[in-house]
Amino acid sequence: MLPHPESEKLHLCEVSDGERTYPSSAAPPIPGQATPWPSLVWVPSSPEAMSIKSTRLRGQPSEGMLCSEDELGIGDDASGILILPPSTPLGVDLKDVLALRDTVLDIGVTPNRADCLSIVGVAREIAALTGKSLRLPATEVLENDEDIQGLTSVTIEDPDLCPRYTARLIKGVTIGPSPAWMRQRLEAVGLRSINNMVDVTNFVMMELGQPLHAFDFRFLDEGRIVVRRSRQGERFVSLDEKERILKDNTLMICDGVKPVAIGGIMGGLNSEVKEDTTTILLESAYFQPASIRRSARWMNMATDASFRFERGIDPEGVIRALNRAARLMIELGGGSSCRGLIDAYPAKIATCQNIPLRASRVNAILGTQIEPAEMVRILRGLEMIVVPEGDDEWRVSPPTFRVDGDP
Amino acid sequence: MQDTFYIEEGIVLRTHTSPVQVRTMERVRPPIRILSPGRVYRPDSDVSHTPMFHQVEGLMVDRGITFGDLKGVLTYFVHEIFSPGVALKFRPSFFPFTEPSAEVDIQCVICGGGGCRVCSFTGWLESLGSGMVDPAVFLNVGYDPEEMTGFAFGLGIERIAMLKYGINDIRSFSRMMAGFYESQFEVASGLCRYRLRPRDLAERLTMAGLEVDAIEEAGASFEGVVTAGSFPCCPIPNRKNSTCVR
Repeated sequence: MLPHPESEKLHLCEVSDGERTYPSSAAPPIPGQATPWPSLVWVPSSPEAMSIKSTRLRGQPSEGMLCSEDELGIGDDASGILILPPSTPLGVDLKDVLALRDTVLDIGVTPNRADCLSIVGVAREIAALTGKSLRLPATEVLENDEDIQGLTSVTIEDPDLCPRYTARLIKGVTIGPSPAWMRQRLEAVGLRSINNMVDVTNFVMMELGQPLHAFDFRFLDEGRIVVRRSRQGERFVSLDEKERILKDNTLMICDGVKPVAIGGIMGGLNSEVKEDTTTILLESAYFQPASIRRSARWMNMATDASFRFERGIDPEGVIRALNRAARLMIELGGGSSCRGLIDAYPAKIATCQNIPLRASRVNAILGTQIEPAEMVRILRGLEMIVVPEGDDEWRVSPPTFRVDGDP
Repeated sequence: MQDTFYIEEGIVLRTHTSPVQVRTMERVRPPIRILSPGRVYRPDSDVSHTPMFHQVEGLMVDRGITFGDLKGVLTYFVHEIFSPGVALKFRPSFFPFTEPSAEVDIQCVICGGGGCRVCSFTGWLESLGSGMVDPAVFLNVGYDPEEMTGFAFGLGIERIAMLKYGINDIRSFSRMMAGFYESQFEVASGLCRYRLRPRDLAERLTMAGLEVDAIEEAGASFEGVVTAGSFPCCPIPNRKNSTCVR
């Protein structure tokens, strides 16, 4: 790039997409340096491409535009041109480079199918419809030598509102932006990218349907978690910077001294992940649906997390999501998990078991003549356990993620 | 699934005519074959919604009523009110008081299924909600669900009229307009542009009860954007008067 004859901020340059060379002007990514940058993002002037027109910029011809993240709408960085890794081939459509060749389906999930409020939930349905097998994401976690039992603990004082709380401690992470593939996936479903650790919690919520929360461990007094009802008049500032005065009916996540999150709804400003966070306490829990619905309505809050807890999440998916998120956090931010996890599970969460089903009744109500063997095949394809009981009857136990049964 | 019109704490205006089923069954013993038109209220107001509109509820309860009977009655109704041979699609859905539940789509009466603006280029129009009455409802009104089965359905009168007579603004029903009965629909010509796999997947999901409302291409704003590299140019002897760089 060479200094522009008419402007101090702009430089003249030639831009090549591997086939043609175009003259252009741009503000150099690194001010004052006139070295080549082999991998930039270039919008050649054409009617479709972001309304860029061939023009003259301060007296010099300009055939297109080198773009920053902000101009492309894929990030907040407006300070300079987006630079891609040096190995990126030239002339490649940006959509391929950023893995944007994708389609987004907007699905209206009926209230009874909360198990489909996640990618894996819908994938499960597709597997059942097409006969293909379901591939669950990897959940092995890199662990270090420190036993989590010696470092933190979880006490549940109100198990009726929170029957299960699991946690991992992840040390040595570095907070930073998330990689492009994660940002794209989040933005495709309407979520903003915040930083790598927070993004992982949102990503796994969308992927597996289990809402998660990350605390900065140094802000947890006494380094432990207490799960209890709020007290009348207790004050709390949530992540959205609103101060709330609580009654005695809201399930709060607290440390040894103070509340640090509104359980299942929103975290607190006093314990959020910051730029210099290095140790994270990762929460994956089951909250009683009616309690979350009541608290969310009363405080006039609605989050992706509360939406899912209100409808019921899979009690047996809590640990899988914890491990999946821990794995991703370590992959994106470095560090490792302390050995083991905490699983405070005082009260077994009731699920639907042994529902009586009669083949004759199915055909009588539907007006069909479906063979019993076919009914069994379909039920088992949906991961239901079917046990014969007498001639015409079965006992059917749905998988725990089917929260539309009534235990 | 719909927003409710609250008058004040504890008092609402009904959002559908389904409560009539319960009131009827509490007063009358089966067999039951009823239709109940009535006003319903929802806090929506735009070209296809008004805060007050009309529904017709249907309920049939007897020994031996099946889902097949439901399909038969609704198919007969659609053929009589629109035209014989209009295709129907029963799509799995959810209502809290019917199991199984189905939403009924009819082949778009404007484009005949080819795709147009009215049917959002899907070829189908939503027209009715229906299902087999949930046994819990029977227990609550004192019927024996082992003996009795039944179906229920609900349709919006304004919606059916709009489809049948080609009216494109629901608010027309509450406005007196000259030339109202001569209003015409615009028909967008052209075939549906079905992409292969996302559309097929969306269709299968919808018919499994997960209704796909929209399909979008990710990265649509990046049309035409490519990667490129910049290279140094020859130095220009006279900066101020330079006109080209090569």
